[in-house]
Amino acid sequence: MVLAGTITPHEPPASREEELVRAQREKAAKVAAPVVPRDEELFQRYVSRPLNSFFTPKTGWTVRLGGLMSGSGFGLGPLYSRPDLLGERLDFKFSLAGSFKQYWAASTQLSLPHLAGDRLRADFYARHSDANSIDYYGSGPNSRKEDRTNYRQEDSSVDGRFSWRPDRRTTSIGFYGGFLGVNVGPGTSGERPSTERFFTASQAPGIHQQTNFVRYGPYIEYNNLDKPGDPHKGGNYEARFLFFDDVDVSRYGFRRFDGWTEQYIPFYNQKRVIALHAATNLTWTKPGQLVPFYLQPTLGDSHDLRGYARFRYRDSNSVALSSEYRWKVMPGFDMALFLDAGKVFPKASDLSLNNLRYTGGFGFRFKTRDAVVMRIDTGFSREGFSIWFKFSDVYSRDLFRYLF
Amino acid sequence: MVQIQRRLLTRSLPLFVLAAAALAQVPHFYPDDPITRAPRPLPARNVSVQSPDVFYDFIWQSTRPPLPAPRASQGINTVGDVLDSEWYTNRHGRTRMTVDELKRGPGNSHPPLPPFQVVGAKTDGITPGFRMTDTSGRLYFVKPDPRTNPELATSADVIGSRFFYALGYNTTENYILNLKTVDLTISPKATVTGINGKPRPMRKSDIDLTQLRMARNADGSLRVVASLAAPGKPLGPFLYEGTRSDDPNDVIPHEDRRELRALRVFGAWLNHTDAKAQNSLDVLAEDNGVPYVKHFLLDFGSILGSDSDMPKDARFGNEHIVPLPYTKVPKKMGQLGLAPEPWETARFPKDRAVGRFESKVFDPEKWVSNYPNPAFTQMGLDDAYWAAKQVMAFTDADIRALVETGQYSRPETVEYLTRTLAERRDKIGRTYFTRVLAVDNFRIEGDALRFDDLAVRHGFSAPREFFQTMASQGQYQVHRIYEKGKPETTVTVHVMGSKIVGVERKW
Repeated sequence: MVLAGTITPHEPPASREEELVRAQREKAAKVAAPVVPRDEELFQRYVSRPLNSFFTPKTGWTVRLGGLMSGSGFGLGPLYSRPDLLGERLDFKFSLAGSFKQYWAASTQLSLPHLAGDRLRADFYARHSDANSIDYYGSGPNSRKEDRTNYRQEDSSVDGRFSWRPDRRTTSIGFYGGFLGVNVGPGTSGERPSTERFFTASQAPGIHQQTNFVRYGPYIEYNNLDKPGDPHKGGNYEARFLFFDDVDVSRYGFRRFDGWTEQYIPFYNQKRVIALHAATNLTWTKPGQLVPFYLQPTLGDSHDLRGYARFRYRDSNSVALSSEYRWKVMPGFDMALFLDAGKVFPKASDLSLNNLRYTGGFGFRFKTRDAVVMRIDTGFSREGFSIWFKFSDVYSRDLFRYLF
Repeated sequence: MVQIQRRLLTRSLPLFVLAAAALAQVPHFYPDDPITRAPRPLPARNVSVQSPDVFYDFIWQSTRPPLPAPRASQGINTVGDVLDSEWYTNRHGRTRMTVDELKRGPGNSHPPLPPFQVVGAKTDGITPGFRMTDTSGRLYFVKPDPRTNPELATSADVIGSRFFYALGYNTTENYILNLKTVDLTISPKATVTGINGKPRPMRKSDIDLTQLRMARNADGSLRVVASLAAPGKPLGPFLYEGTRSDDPNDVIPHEDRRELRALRVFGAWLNHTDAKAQNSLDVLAEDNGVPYVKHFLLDFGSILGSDSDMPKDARFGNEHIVPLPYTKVPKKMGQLGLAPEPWETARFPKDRAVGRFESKVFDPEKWVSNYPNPAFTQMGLDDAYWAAKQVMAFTDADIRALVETGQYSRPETVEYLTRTLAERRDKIGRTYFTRVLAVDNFRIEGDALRFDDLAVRHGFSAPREFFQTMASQGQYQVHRIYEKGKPETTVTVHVMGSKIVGVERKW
């Protein structure tokens, strides 16, 4: 072996090893601490760290995006979040959210998510919201597009939900109960008439006389979706049965069944997905009782009858069916073709698949590894077309989504 | 042994005159050629920890302009073999390892022994896990299988560490462990990042929540892979490009290292789609009191059909995450998904321990890692040929022995993986042994130069007729070999006495 110390630099190396040792010694003479390249440093400062900060769970004051009812426009506001209370066993949230359409809401939530080894969960909610221009076209399947009106709705609610998750993963059985107070008033849109000026109390039950409700009932959910934020296989099945007792005027009490199913069928190694969805809302009333128009199920939104305007159809009962064919364009970007169908109807016993309304369309889905972060769907119907910007997957949603 | 026709140099005379002139100016070989080992490392005394930005690496490598045309490979000797060094040690490809040696891999002398103490949460990667010490105080990084796919990632990690060790890389000792919660305690000093993003003491409920995402054995124990910490002070990952400025021994740009370029072929064989800087580690090791930087490959939970926390996406290995060229995107939008790529219709086994791993659609030349790796993009045919020789050194029995270290519960799983790896191996051999003049194992027998045709030996080609010319260049005999009808593809062998001192290949 040639020792490094014996090498004379200006003479040609005498061996391969000497040649390599010379290279090492030359490097040894100029070793320096590593320096992060300028472009990487800038990337870290302006991209990586802000992104990390954005996605790191926050405690204390932060920003809430969304949180308002459908049709509010882009919602934004302060959020105070403390999921770390009682050694991360108690989660407290409070938020204010508002939008340029002057919708706003104040919400608070107190949750105990890890009771009994994650088998039990308790949530308590209180919320006040104000939506100043909700569209109403009249109740029933034959409402007319040109009868578009708007009304204002103020909700105040206090609710509790107790869940038992026997397997801690897929199944949730629980009971839900709370108080809901509703005020309805003239809509603020200057472009279309206010509902109470266009529809009578018989056409829009409860338009002149609002009341308060105690609502309660059981629910069950089975969810074996592979990725809840961007499902490719599995299903989600939810059902709840709620009693709405009118505690003020005893005219608007009813019972309501909400059913929700999603099923995903992948093929081509999960690069294509058929997504199927069916939902129904059925109500029953005692003789002389009515379902107030502001609590009637609606069709026409970003997840059903997407070719129609928001809340285009409304009645005491509804059924909605939808299917999507999705194909992967590239990681993080899917496209979809969809077909929606649905109808509203006055009596639960009229539930059938006759006389459905149909829409079709296409969509773009932008995703992270585990969730759809934004979608743009364009739906076409006999009444025109609608474009929907949303920051969630199309079907996956919580029946209790408007509690916080 | 191939048939050789000898002819005196006639038509190639001008070429050899020029070569002789060049040889006269610069010594082509040194007396010690071909060496087999890089010089002993100089002391690396002032090395510091590097933390390259993972996201930046992904964005930069996915969008950067193409690298300049590849330079000649370095870190090799004059016959084209990679030198033993802090990066690489020739093992199975040079001298066959026994089945026991293959199974032992980087070592199996430090299996974790209970009781175990959890000392913290796992901080890197997407798989849940934790760090623990065993009764001897050794530190292990513990990772589970995804709940939906028992045996998937733990087996891949163990198999991968042994394959890559046998291929010549430095890997850590990986053990499959059936962990009983009664054997686990939590160190009072253990911390975990709390839900508020700040460190807090670790609790039993943290382990319980992690277990919820883990696959369990029938007896309730948790199957995990425990990776022994690499020996030495961790210095962060190495990059597949450039050199460490603080390491005197790091003199070859990493993208020019044959062992890193060739990792593309090994990665293709074993489907190591996540071969990136983050899955490597430099450590400050010591040899006879001399500190030096040793380079490890880490984390093989994303090889074969596994993607660590889920089965591997069928795209991986076939297309980069950011598809190149970008013009494919509008085309795919317009096709409505009705023109599937071959990998989209590839058939994968139902075996959940296998995930998505197959050999029928696999194409060694089209295989890609999740995002461009500069060493991989610089790989040339000579690098690939060398790598293919290493891959072809593994017999079916070798592969089976290594797959069995994954401790699969079903013999069918071992059978499928062995068969699939053998088929992928053969595709690699067929691809590169037929793209180049795969003559090798040169030796002097009597006064004749003998060699083997690897394409014929492995059944990828019918016996071929070769021409061999010979000329004297000073103290060397220069033999030029080419196949009949393909004079542009040559192998030139330099012989001094009975010693093969150099092999040059021209594709």
